[in-house]
Amino acid sequence: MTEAKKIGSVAIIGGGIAGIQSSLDLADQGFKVYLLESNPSIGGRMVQLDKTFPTLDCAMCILGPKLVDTERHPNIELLSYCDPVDLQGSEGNFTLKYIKKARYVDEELCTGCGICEEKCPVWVEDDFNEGLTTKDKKGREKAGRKNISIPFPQAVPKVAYLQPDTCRYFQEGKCRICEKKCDAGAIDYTQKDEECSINVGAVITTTGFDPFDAKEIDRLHFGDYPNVFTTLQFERLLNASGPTEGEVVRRSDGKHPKKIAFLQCIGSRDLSINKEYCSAACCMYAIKEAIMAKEHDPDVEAYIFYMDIRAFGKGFEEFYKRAINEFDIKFINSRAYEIEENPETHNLLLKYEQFMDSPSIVTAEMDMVILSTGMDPSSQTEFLQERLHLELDHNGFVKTDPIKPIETSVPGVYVCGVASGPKDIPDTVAQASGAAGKAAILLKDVRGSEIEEKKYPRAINVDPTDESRIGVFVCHCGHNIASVVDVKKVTEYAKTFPNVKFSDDPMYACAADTQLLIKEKIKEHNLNRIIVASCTPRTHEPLFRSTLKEAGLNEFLFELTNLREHISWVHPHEKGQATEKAKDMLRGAIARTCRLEPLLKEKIPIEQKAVVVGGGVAGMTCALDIARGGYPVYLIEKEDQLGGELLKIPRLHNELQGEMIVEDLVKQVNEEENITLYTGANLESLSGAVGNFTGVVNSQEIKFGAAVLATGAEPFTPEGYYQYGVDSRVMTQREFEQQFNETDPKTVVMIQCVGSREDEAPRTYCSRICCTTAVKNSIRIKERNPDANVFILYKDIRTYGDLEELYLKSRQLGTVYIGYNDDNKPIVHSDGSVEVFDITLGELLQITSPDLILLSTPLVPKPNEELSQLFKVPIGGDKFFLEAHVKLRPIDFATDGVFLAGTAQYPKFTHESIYQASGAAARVMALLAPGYLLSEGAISVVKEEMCRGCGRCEEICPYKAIELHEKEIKLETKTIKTVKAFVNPGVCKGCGLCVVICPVSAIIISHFQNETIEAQVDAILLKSEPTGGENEQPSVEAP
Amino acid sequence: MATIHTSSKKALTVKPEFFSTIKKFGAFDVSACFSCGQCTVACPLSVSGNEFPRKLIRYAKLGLEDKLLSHPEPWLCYYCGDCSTSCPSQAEPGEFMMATRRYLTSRYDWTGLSKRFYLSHKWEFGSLIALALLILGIFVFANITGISTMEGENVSIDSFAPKEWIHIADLILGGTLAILLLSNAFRMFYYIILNDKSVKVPLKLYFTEIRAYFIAGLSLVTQFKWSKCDNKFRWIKHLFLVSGYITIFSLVVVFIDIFQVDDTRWDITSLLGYYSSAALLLIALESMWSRYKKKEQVHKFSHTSDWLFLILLFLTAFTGIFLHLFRLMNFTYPTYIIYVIHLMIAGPMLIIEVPFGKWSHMLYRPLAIYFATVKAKARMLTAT
Repeated sequence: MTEAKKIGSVAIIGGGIAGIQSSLDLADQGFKVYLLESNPSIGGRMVQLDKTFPTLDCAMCILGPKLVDTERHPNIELLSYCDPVDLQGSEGNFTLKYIKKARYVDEELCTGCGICEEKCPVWVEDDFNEGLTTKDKKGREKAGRKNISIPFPQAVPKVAYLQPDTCRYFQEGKCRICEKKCDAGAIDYTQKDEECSINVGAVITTTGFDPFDAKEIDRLHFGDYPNVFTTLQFERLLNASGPTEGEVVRRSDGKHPKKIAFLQCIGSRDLSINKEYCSAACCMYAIKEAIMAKEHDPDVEAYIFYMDIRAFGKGFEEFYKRAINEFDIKFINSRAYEIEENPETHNLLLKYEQFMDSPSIVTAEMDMVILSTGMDPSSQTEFLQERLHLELDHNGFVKTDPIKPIETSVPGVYVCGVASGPKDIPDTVAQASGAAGKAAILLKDVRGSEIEEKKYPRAINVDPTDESRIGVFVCHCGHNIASVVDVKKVTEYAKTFPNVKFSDDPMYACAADTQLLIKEKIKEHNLNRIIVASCTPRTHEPLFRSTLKEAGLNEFLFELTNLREHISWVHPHEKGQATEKAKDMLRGAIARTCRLEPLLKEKIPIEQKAVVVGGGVAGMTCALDIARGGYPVYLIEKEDQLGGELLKIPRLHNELQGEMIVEDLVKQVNEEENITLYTGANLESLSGAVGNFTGVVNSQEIKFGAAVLATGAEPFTPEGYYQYGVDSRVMTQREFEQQFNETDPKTVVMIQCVGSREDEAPRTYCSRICCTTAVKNSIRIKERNPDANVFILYKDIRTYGDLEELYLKSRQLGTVYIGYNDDNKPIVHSDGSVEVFDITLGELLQITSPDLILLSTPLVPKPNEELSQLFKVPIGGDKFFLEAHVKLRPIDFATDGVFLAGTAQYPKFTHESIYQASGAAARVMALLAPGYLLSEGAISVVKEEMCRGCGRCEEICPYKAIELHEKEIKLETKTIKTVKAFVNPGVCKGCGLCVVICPVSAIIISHFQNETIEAQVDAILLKSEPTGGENEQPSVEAP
Repeated sequence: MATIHTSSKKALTVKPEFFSTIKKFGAFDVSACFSCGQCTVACPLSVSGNEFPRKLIRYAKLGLEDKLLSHPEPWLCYYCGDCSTSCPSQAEPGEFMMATRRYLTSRYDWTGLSKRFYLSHKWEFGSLIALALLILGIFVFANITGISTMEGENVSIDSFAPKEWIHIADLILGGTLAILLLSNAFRMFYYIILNDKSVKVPLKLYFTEIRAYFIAGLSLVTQFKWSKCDNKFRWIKHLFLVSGYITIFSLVVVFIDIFQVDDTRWDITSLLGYYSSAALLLIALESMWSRYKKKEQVHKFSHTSDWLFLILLFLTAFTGIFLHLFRLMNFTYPTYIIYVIHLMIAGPMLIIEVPFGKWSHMLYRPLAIYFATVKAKARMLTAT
């Protein structure tokens, strides 16, 4: 059989955060991406969240830009409201069939104005708000969403959809109100489900999860008792765009709850309903929601009923501590059995066992109970199994190999996110990049074959001194703007300015016909500047800029005035004044636009090579992936031997042997032509920035465009803890593992959190893996000698995800777990006996004469200060490298061109290091692929003659785009050496901080120059005439 | 390292080997327990001060033997199974409680026989057979010596097994059982109250709280506590069984004079006898069916002693009915034979099961409630 031709496109099944990240990483590399989403909008579960832990960032605010980027990316084709039905073919060449479900709304014509939704008379259950309802003005209960609607305000694509089953027209044959009201003529009742197919080279499955249905547990009475909610519902209650506009109220009486209980592990860690695994994220989101409830109403008392708080990720433990200390959230280590309701007050009664205090069975009365529901495999995984023939694990998630954590059982089909097991957002994002990397490697030879770069006509030369000829387009946005602002009046007002040569009021400025109109009018009236007065630049500026480019105008000669978010939506009741404000804004925009200058986005060539620092499992994986993606890699390892810490772990929790994994990787590295290996070497010096770094290794100069720091971590040595170093029976888990075969202990005591989760920095963090290590070692001891006594003294057992199964196994084998807390830490006496206060019993226990006392110590970072300075990347309070954003950019540094992988970021398991390394490789490939960097255009410019080289701008620049360069200045008599600030155009994002900090105003920011902004402000405040350019005649202020 | 213990308690030495001792008494896997506490609140009978099963599981796992012995809670559990069905670790806490009751029964019994019966089939079956043979031997002996005669014409149980002799046998049996049971009860008292150094019970409390014993005694008869469990059927079935059992026991031991008759006259004792036989037969059959099918949580695990108990109960009732039928039909010799067989089953059952086995819970359950009440009061007194 001859190998089928490879196709340079990838299908991604699932448009949640995982699918979005994979799409962007692949599209940036020049692959065509088809993003399939079963729902009408992409965004997945994350769009439903109010805030995200542990930073409390607004979820929509950090995800929204990614949604827009995905929609606007020229290489991504969104296939929303599409269900995959079949996959044929093989690695490199698949045919994916899918059903494009009928929306009954033409995607091309719909502008997302929302008029259909407003006028539709039928209310239906609102999935986005998790079925929560609101009341109308008369207090009548009404469902949360109209039958034809846009799923949520930030939906992408922002297109309405109609559900025929509940539509009055489809069911009763009359109504058609939406059709009548839609000015865009987008309603199409004749649409049918369509079967389509696409050819792709690879498939990434990111089908995510379905929340556990709490109705499965009768005794919780979810659905019966009005004041019992799920955590996802509570997110919607907290959210300002939710059904109650962010007011936390009880369903029974609309009152604000004062006592809120969160019940953990609903649908997880419960064998009675066949859920063995831990859902990994619920502890953290419950803590977050409890904190948010407190922020909404400081009088709220929040209780979290838990078994183990699993705060195992970066910043999680500190977040948990904050919840206790700062927000006074009560954590109750107990599992309630059922919820009872007081039928009169609708308050909820929770009976639980208090482990230490008397009376020990307590009935607490709560105003509201939130069920922390776990993650079930998505209903789509059935499709994955049946049609993609992917193997699933016994929990129903996609099965993966620990050393190939993003590859499925079918070559060419990859998996990431919760589809392969419960995980939180940062892990999902890292994995998503990794999956993109794997697909990119597979299809590297056909990269760019399925995309077409858009060609624009050569831009007309517009000189700053030319007369400004402005076209103004004031958008109705259906009724969104026009119902408040008198659009016609504003349009007429624009005509009163001499520089405005044309003005019009299109129904939808963003509609395709308006783009044609704009281009036509530019030609007709010789316009050289355009103002659109419509909505937010965040979503729409790229569209209009591209229209300008098509018309042969420089894209920077454009201004967007936001009449919707800034005026009509916020002043719906002050129509007259709103129109006046619109005029003011437009006047400012005209003043500004007259002063705009054409700018060029510079293409800066880059070195298409990468450096990976650190030759452990992360470093090697990353180097291999980049190399296989077609880019030369310099792999630098400090030690004489590759392998890092993994070499010292004889057996992992999944039975793999560290040495074997390393051996295999080393072999691959040695065979890989694209890798240049330096062992026993350090990066001695470094200069340059993203795209063009120059470093010195072994006195050899190397040039590269991107770098990955994978320097790893090492176990903490617990000097001074629990007789370590004093009593030979006391050793670390790692030391024990290395001499496992030589020992045969009868009684072993393991102490968890030795040197981690401390009160003082730097080791306040949870080291993530030590619980599993202890559990693993207990199993190994018990399996070798079932009569051995193993005790594990712990604070919380953090075996998240399917690691919970190991914890269960360890218990079943008879390991005795004893919980302790910080107030009562265990004591190791000089005779070797161990004393521990059992917090689940309230008794002081003594374990006499153990043969071994094993201390579970955290991983601590390697000394990274030098690298941190070289690459200008930060180190966090825990001394690990600090990524750009713990939630959505877990493998990027804020400094462009530098990425991180493995335990240098935070303690993690081998399989996690592997997918993170693949993720970092994908990020590197996305950066290197085009061969050039495109500067932002609107960036900082140093006026050298004024710069005195003080360096304040260098200090403040968050992107490390500014460096001080030595300069020689030739004067008539002598040459003097001086220092000047230099802005790297490939790195500068145009944020403007340097402009503000510069004491001598030596830096300006193009497109936002002081005089431009001043003119705009003055015009708005009517301080000066809204004109510009030297040749202009001052105009008379319009009436 | 902060290592200051807030507790001034004396450290208890952990003995994990102990757990395997308890494990021998039942099929359960509380090793898997992660001490979440859900079982305690799932239990409709568990209350503050006497909370179970989680705490007891903890004692057992850590090998805190004295602690476990000092707790009356195992006897407060009626094994409705709610804890087991909902247990997130499927650790079978209910079965653990059952096994603990067996273990405690063996500990209360000073002869050491109970433990042997529970843990060794040889001992259990051996003793049953030996006792049965003993009874057979007594009849043979009585027949040879002429104490017992077999009338061939008309059935005359009275001459086959004269009432006065049966009475004497009843008294000997009853006395032995009573002595054994009472001494076991004293040991229970010792473990739960005397040996628990954490609480000192003033003498007068035993009298003032005696009410609790009588209420508990009543609960033995009506099993009303059980009615708190969700599964009401089990309560009714158990009540039916207990009422039948007590009725027939009274008829045989106390009212043998009027119960054991040779005529076919109908009276209240016949009716009571029918009622009891029906109760024993039906419930024994139903329970065996349920155990075989593992229908209810409580019947998921069956110890040999559980099967034996039901089989003996069934056979006792079964042979009793045949005895009655044969007598009514005037089948003389079959009647005598079935009479001996009936006693060969019922006698050993009582001797083994009452002081050493499952039936001892008749005594331990109300005592446990009594002791729990006394202890709680004593704790309250010391606290105030």
